[in-house]
Amino acid sequence: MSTQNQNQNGYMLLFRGTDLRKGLSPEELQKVTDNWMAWFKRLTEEGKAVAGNPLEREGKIVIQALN
Amino acid sequence: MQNMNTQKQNGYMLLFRSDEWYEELSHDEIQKVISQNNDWIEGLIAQGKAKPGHALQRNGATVSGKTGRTVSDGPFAESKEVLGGFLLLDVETIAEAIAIAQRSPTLAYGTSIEVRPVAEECPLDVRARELARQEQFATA
Repeated sequence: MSTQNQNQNGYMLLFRGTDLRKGLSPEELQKVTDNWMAWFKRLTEEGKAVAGNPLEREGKIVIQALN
Repeated sequence: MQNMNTQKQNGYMLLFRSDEWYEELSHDEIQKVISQNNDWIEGLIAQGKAKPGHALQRNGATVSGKTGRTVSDGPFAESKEVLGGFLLLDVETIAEAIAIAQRSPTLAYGTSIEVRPVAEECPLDVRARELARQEQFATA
């Protein structure tokens, strides 16, 4: 699609591959967390982000209706 | 995998994936599904078990790479796996969230629904605390 398209309803950001916990030192992890929070806080204050939530990595997939 | 009775205060996210099955339906058929789907969602909202969800358009862009410089059109591995919408459930157990998902009228058309607990806090914070505790033990 054109990157100039306007959408009145906003955009959803979906974050994948977020298991970056392993291999980081506590200091690195803290830095990533701080950067992330600062980014999200700034977007919220600017009115550009509405809400966000992390999801647990486990879950279930439903593919068939109960009849 | 978590216990089916595990309680989650933050609710559950239902993620709906499908191909464009609705392109194959007649006007009458599609009206029927829309009506069933609206009834299902409005019933859940009326019971306080769901917040209004949203459909997602199928186009979009994916940003990746360590500096975020890679921008590609579309999400899209296979069309049947495209995320078509979401619904946030305010229920206490994954068993109830699954039971609700199993009543979705669009399952009959091949939609799959991923049921995911909304996390209490960011996994990064949890891991940072674990590491801090480990360091504390190591130095104790």
